[in-house]
Amino acid sequence: MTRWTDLVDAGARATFAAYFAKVDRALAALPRSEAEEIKAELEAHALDAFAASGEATSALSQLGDTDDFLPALVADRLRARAGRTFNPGDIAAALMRSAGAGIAGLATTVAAGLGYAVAVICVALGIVKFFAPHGTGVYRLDAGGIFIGSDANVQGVDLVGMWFSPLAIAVGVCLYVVLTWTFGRATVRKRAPLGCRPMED
Amino acid sequence: MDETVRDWERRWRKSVLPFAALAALRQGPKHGYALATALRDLLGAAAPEGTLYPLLNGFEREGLTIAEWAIQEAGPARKTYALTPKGEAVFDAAVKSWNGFSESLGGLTQ
Repeated sequence: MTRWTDLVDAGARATFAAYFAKVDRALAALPRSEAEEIKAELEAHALDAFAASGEATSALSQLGDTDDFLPALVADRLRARAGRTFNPGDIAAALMRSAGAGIAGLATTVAAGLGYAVAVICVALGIVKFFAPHGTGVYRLDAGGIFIGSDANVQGVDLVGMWFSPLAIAVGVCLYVVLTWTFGRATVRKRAPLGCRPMED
Repeated sequence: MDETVRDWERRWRKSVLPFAALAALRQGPKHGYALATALRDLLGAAAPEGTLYPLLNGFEREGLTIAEWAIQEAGPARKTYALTPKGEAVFDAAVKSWNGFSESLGGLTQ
């Protein structure tokens, strides 16, 4: 028997169907090939456990509630994908999933999110400098202090001039690259419950 | 008091799970169910078997294990994990650390 759909016992087949429907929902955020690979691995495990115990509910209870281990696995895979592609969409998906993987995941998401916000602001200011050279950049204010940003009414001395544009864009891009590289390699674990939780029908 | 000790025991078993998983793989490549079976005997019902999969995923990402799918003559194809040289080196270092820790604790509990 290579699939649970080959199970002769209709009751066992129904129990497996319900469990793997949950698995499908949990893996929906991953690319299809990755989701299919994880699902195939879990199916093989579940079938081995069923062969040993002869009881579908017991076998799937051993494997555990999908809520206890799949969110962390999906978040790890999405982070790894973001770290490979550097695609903003992949990064956003990974950030959202990591936020759901416990307190550590939430903290990672908040920290990375703030970093990405700073990167975007740097690049935006660098571009704005081209269109609004007066009022955007690093200024020593007449009243004292330093201003970094964009304000048409700023009164002070532009310390960097037009160099601000390539510098700000470079800082933003470097920050984006470093953050994505680091975030893509982060491993965040949601604490699994101690002991096995009984299967809920 | 018994409940306190049982709770500690569950936490100890859970915390050594990564080390125990590397130890089991050190004995030879294993797929997920075989690894869970080896660890079940050692660790009892410390955690659902599914929690091994995020752990194994982390090992692969850190370069401690390498995985490959093996088509079986009977039954589904299985993904088998084996330690890499880096994984073996990390495990050997962990064993030294564990032995030192165990010795220190042994001195306190005698």
